[in-house]
Amino acid sequence: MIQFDNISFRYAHDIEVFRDLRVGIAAGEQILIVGRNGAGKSTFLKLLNGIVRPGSGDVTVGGLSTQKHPTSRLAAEVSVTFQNPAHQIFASTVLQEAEFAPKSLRRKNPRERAQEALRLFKLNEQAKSHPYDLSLAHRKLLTLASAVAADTPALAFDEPSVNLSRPEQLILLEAFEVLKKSGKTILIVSHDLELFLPICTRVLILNDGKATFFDAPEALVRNQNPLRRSGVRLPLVHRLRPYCGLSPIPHPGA
Amino acid sequence: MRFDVGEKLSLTLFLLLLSIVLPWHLNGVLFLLLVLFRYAFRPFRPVSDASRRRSSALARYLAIVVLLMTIVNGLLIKEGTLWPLPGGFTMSSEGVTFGLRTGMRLLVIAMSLLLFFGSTPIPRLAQFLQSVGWPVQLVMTLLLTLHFIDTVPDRVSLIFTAQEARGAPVRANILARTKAFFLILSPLLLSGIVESIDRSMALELRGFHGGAKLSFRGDETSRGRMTMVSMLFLILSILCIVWIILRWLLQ
Amino acid sequence: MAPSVSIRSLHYQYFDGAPFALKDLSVHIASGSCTALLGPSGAGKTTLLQILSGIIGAQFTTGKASGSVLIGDDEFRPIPQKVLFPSVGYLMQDASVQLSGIKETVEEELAFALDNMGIDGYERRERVSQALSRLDLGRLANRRPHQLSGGELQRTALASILVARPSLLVLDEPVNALDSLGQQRMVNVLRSLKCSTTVLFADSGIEFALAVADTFLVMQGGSILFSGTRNQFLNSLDSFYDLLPVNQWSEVVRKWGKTTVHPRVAGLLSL
Repeated sequence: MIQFDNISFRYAHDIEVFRDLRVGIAAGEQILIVGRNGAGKSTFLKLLNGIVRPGSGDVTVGGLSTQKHPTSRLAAEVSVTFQNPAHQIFASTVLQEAEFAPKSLRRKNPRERAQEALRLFKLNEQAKSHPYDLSLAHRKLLTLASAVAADTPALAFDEPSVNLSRPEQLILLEAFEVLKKSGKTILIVSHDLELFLPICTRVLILNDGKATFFDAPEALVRNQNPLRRSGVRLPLVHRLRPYCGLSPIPHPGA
Repeated sequence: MRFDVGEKLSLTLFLLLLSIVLPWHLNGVLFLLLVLFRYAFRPFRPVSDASRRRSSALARYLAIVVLLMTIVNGLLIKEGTLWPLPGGFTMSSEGVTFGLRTGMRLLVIAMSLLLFFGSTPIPRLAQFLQSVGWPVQLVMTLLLTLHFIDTVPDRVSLIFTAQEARGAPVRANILARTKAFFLILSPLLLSGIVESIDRSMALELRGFHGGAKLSFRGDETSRGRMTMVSMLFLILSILCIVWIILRWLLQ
Repeated sequence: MAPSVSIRSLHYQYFDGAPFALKDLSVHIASGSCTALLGPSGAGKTTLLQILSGIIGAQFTTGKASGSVLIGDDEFRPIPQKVLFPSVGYLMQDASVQLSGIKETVEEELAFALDNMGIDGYERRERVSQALSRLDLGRLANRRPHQLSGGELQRTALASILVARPSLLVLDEPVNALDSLGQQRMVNVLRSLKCSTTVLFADSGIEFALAVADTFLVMQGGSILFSGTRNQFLNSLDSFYDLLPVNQWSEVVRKWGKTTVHPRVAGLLSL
């Protein structure tokens, strides 16, 4: 569904981010993308919908090449959210914000899709409120709901759990379960491994311009070297579990 | 040749007044001179790449606005010599002159301000204002406002990108961009205000309060003394004001 | 001298008729200790921290408070009415807003607090360089603040408070933008402040708290639900399922037994 072929990318001030990156993601997968700060995780997401374009190589999403199509066209295949809600929210009500994507993409019944997405993230009661009347945690959930309302086959979230406290995290996990069941391809960039390792199908580690690991979470716990080399640590609780006779990664719902 | 903040400020004031005094064709020449100034004159070079790109974009945008203004005025005003156009429209010389006069003035004013703010880092401006005796709270308020204005283009760009990522081709053409810009102005201001409240709290939490004095690095810029150059431009500015008043009285 | 903090029956409303942000809150924080304030968003953690810093008393003139706050030898009835800087240092949740935005380099940014305190010359240089090295900001000293990454920004914000050498340090989510390396650095910084500084920090996760705190407070709805040591906290994890990200931890602790934490676990926890 998503293919990165020999991607090289560097920013204008000469910082090389990717060198010959190769990643293939099948439809319906849930991928957790990790790496230290500066490894290019956010850049990876921006390459998905053409916000940035690779210097060489090709990124294809749903059969469309990002070199050949504008971001607004690629947005019909993948919805990407960013870390800071203040850089995305602009409407005067929560409902208007959620409606923006399905309206722009000319989906049928945009209002209903928006309301469904708000229900998924438990924001339906605040549909008429001004986004800035919501707490920061709920504004974050709003950016996620706005992306889901677009009803694209793939979703990509940059640090979805930052600014969320436990109750909102539970809402997030429940929403992801629903999206997973409906066959969406989900990409999550996060440094919160404890929250997301149990729900992803594969983990992608970005380090030194390349993908240094791309396999199931269980494989990562068996051999933690790729994580160590990339400067990311397995959460303490996962390291403790084997001492207690528990499986390293719990199964969701356990 | 070194121009300190005070000298640049008095030159900018003079240019603003000059734009009111000069006829439109001389304003046009002045505008072109100022554009050249930017590249030729070191003290007026933009502080950073981002600054330069933004000023160029703004200048181009304004030039288009002026052209539109001239054409629209020419079409709507029905005085003076009328030149016939296809479709039953007429272009009047009065309208065109009026449009050009206002437009060129706008260009000179905008260019002078761009030159000043583009080449003066905010802390340097703050240091100058404090040294000429502005109350610290006022300097701080001005700084925070300028700082916010400085971040507006970046914020707008980020929101535009987010909107494109949701399927809206806001950068497709200038019309789409303009429409989208006005739609996001209000939430932008709102988030700016919310942030300013937090910022002023943060300043107070680090001991900043009325009566404090902001300190800045280095003593290279003037301490608010009036230099010969500033004096010259201030005198020229006063002459402009006198001329404007006389012209109005003798009409 | 690191002060102890005693709060007695504190109630706070942002204005008349508003819901109580803090309800009958009483807690004692020992001198020189490191206390974690945990809980979901909206629990009142930020309100409590801001009251201690003095900013709420100073700026929110419509607020209604009752009770008392004792910081060291100073008693406030009900709450401090002016900013207690530099004896109380407050780190905001959003590091990018904490910085002044008017300084050209990180070094100058750190010196901002000192300028406000009237400290200059040798002492100024010394304190700034100490803060730079403590937070590993040496090579960023001449960087422009708006060019810093999220993690660097958070470290700079903390350094800009530490230069003032506060005796009570109050931090609002100090590690939310940091990766594991950054969090480890922060653990080391807080450990180095033990005994000389009383530290109280709010967090929405628990791993950082487990690595560095002696006392754990759990808040919800403006009140303190739980107050105890690390062992007591670990043994009560099940009761915080909806409030804190604890579900995997409680499984681990259950396996180890309810009364003590196994030495190996304790060892890993202090890594």
